[in-house]
Amino acid sequence: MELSAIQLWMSPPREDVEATSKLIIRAITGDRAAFEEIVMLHERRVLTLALRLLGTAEDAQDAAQEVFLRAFKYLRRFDTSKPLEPWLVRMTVNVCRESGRKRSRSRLMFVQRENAQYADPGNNPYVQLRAEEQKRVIHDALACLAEKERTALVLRDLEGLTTAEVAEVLGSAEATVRSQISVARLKMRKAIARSKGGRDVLS
Amino acid sequence: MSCHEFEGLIALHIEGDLDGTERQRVESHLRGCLDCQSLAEELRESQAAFKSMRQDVADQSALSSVRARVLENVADMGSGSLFERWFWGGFRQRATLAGVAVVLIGAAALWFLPEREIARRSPADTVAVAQSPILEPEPAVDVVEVVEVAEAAPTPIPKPAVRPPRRDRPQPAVVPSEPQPQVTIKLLTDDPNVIIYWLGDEKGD
Repeated sequence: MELSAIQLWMSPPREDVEATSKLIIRAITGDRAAFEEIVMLHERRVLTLALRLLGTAEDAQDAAQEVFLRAFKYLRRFDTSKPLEPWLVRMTVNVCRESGRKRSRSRLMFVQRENAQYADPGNNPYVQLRAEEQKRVIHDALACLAEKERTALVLRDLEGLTTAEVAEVLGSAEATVRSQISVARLKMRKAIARSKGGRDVLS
Repeated sequence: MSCHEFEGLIALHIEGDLDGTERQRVESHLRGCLDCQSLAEELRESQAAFKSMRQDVADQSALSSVRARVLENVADMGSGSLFERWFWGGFRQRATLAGVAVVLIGAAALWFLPEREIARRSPADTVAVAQSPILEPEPAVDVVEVVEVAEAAPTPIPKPAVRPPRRDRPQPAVVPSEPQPQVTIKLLTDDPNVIIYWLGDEKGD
């Protein structure tokens, strides 16, 4: 069951622009059920991205809620000839950045994930422990990155956007994003190697 | 290029983010550099570990919680439909803009009104106010008249409406507002049949 969910996430189906357009028009004219359908179609991607960018379930849920409320507010401005998901991804990144700024220091944008609510990886205690340890190492490494580096890396390597798409979402030049991704990968390697200590948690 | 300079390119190369010339340069360097091969291997491992996070997706209870909060907030955002909120929201914006425009026009009218008021007055009065100290050197009578005209101005003038006269330019004469008293000069000649009458004003003009 989990495998199919992973595969679905890693290769999301192409958004049906025409169907989404009809839903949006219905939602704009006051159809709450249509808006609920829009939320259900995109909530997994929005909330997961927020979790990856912010690190805690509580903050991620607040961010996802804010994203959908903004979407509701500005839906009439959306160009229905385009897919909705990139718009929501951009909005999620912006909301998470604002949330990070509210924490006053950029480094605190990403905090330790004690309460992150991800799907259960399995029932085997050994596998669970190992998975938890690996996640802890990766989250520690992510916490070492600057906010822009972390966002670029998450969008490129976890969300699967191209460098050009990441640049568009962040409103940066492609060369800048390439540099941020490169620096982030090198920092991650170093941080993971340091946190390994004597144990090979990644093998 | 040194190995240090290749590091950034290798970090992009391991995920296939280089193309053309750059990829060939990196591959060529990797073939002959054991340190960089080791770096590339470590980067692949850390990337694989990082990408394992793709498995972590938000669970159903979190999704349901967010959806419930969103729909509750949407319901609280007003009983009107999105269309109605758009219409009234747009109306409010337009009304605000119209209000600002009215205030600006009013301010502009207040600013320019005094000048237009002055411009409407008789040019003789205006000229007299500005020119009297320069143009009337001799008769005290005229000066008195000018002073009277200036005092008769009904409202204070906030700023000069007429440019100060230039001294190197001949200025127009002041037109008296009342007719001057006529003076008749009778000249008698030796011939009793010839009498010359000279009609003129007090100044002899």
